[in-house]
Amino acid sequence: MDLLNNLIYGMSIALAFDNLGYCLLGATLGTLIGVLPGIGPLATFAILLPISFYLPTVGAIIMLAGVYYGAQYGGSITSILVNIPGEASTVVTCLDGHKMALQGRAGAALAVAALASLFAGCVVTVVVAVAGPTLVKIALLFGPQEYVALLTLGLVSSVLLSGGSIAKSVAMALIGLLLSLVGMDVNTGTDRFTFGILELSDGLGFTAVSIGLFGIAEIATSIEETGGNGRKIEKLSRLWPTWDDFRRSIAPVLRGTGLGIILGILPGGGGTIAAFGAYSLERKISRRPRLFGTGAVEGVAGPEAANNAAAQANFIPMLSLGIPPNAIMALMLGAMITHGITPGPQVMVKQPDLFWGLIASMWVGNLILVILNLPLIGLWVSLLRVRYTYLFPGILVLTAIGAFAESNRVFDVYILTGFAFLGYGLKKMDFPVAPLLLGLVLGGSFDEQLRRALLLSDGDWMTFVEHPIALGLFILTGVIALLIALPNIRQARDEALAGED
Amino acid sequence: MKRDVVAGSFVVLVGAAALLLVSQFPFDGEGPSSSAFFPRLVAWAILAVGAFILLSALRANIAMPRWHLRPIGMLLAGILAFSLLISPGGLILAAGSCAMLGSFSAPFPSTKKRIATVAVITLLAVLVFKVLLKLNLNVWPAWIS
Repeated sequence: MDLLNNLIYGMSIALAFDNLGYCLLGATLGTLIGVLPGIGPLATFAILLPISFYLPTVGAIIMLAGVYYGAQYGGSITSILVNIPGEASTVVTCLDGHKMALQGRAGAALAVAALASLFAGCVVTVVVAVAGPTLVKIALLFGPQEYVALLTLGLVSSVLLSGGSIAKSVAMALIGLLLSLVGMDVNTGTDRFTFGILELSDGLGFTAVSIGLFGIAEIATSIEETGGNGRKIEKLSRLWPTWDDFRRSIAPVLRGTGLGIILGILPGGGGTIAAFGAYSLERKISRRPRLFGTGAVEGVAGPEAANNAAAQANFIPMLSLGIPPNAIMALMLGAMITHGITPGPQVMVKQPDLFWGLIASMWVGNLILVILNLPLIGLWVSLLRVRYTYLFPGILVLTAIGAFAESNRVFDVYILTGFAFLGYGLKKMDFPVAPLLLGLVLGGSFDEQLRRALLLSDGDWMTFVEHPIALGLFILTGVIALLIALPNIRQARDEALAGED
Repeated sequence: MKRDVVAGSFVVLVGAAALLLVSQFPFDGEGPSSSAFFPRLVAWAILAVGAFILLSALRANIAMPRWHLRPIGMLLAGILAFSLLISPGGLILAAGSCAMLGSFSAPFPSTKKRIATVAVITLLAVLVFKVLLKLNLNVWPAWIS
């Protein structure tokens, strides 16, 4: 009964006129930027992050959640229509979705993707509402030892489950931790890595760093790859799927949703693995596996449901434990901190309007996306035809003003410039940048909790073994690391995460 | 040049620089109470991972990809112009210069279209950030206002 009351309370907040407007704004802007080639949800989120600073806290977080869903859906649009996945998690959508488009069934593929995502989103909203408070109760028992173990699990899993070389991912996460230490140490008051620059005493501006690393660097590589040209897209004919499409999609959507939820809750888990897992599962159990890759609707429905389910399930550890399972949630965490919210178990207790409003807005956001995208699909198609050279200068101005406006400091724009160049260089050296962001967001807590745990135990590292929950989490971390080291699993990881940032 | 040799060297350099900087922190406590405790751990770890990447790179043979300097260079020039002009020049000059320089990051169909695009973006920037969001900054250069 409590759950129902809380969901009704959340719905009253999410459906308030202004919050509904913010959700609509976020979903629209997310889709708008998300359909640009090579600019995935992470870059979209980073570019649009500063807009949230002008909004009330609840509205800002609801808008950012809308950006997240919108950007995900923007990736599906480009996958189906132009065979360019907006991000790694929609790569599988290209396999059958684009084939459907080539057969004149792009409308059906887009509708199946949107409806599968809506269904998954509705189910996960309930799961988040049930699992969130349960995890909050557990999290309230945590001391510094448990938090260190949890942060280690989050960081290690994210590193192991991000794409590319594991050593390079580890290096990025560590450099992120190092960057998080720039500024005044709260325990001793000593300035660390500030080079005597006053503006660095507060640390590196999170917005400027993330826009530089993801936004600008991705725009530059996108221009390199596309030359700034628009795409030739075939005319959309029939939009609504056939009855046979619906019938064949039901079971894959159910399985994809289940798989997405499980993989989305795990630290490091995300849409990419869920989507690839769902596709493999559908192909394996299908009576007509040869149809996969030729325009099978099951190959769109399952992965799209899994992708969206995982994306939303990512909110569970972030909201309840304050541990972001991936880089986008790290950005969300950073946005919450910027708004003066301390992410973690206290959010549900101290700010129930934010907690339940956000959960209810997931329903609203997914519904808005379907309403927005199916009738307006023609608009997005027109946007895909526009030369991107007209859009990039506008995005650039948006990022520059965004970095400046966070604290009204020109210094943050210099930081943005430096990190844009660094982000571009890191891409050229094939470093996955997402772990750096996780390190940057989690580093402050890691430093604080590790030192607190060691001070409480007089510097005895065995304290982490003596606390059963912490020990269990460390063992889990070790097991995940060992599993990834197994050749078969390593190979499957490399195949599934190819192209993931 | 081998890509991973450059990558490994970069990480080693970051680790070494961090260690050097940590060694110059003022003494403010022993062990975990010191502000240098965690940074030192992280710096050593970076150094170790960098060395591993560097050693592994000796076996690999992937060339460093070409850097296309025009897109990133013009984007950075646009942002720098914004940072230099926003205080003395106001939003119109800063956003206009940023958009103009940024527009050179990719080929444009014609100069007229470039100028029109920059004008529209500048106008939108003023409308969104000054009129709608009421950002605290000048629209016109200080010497005009």
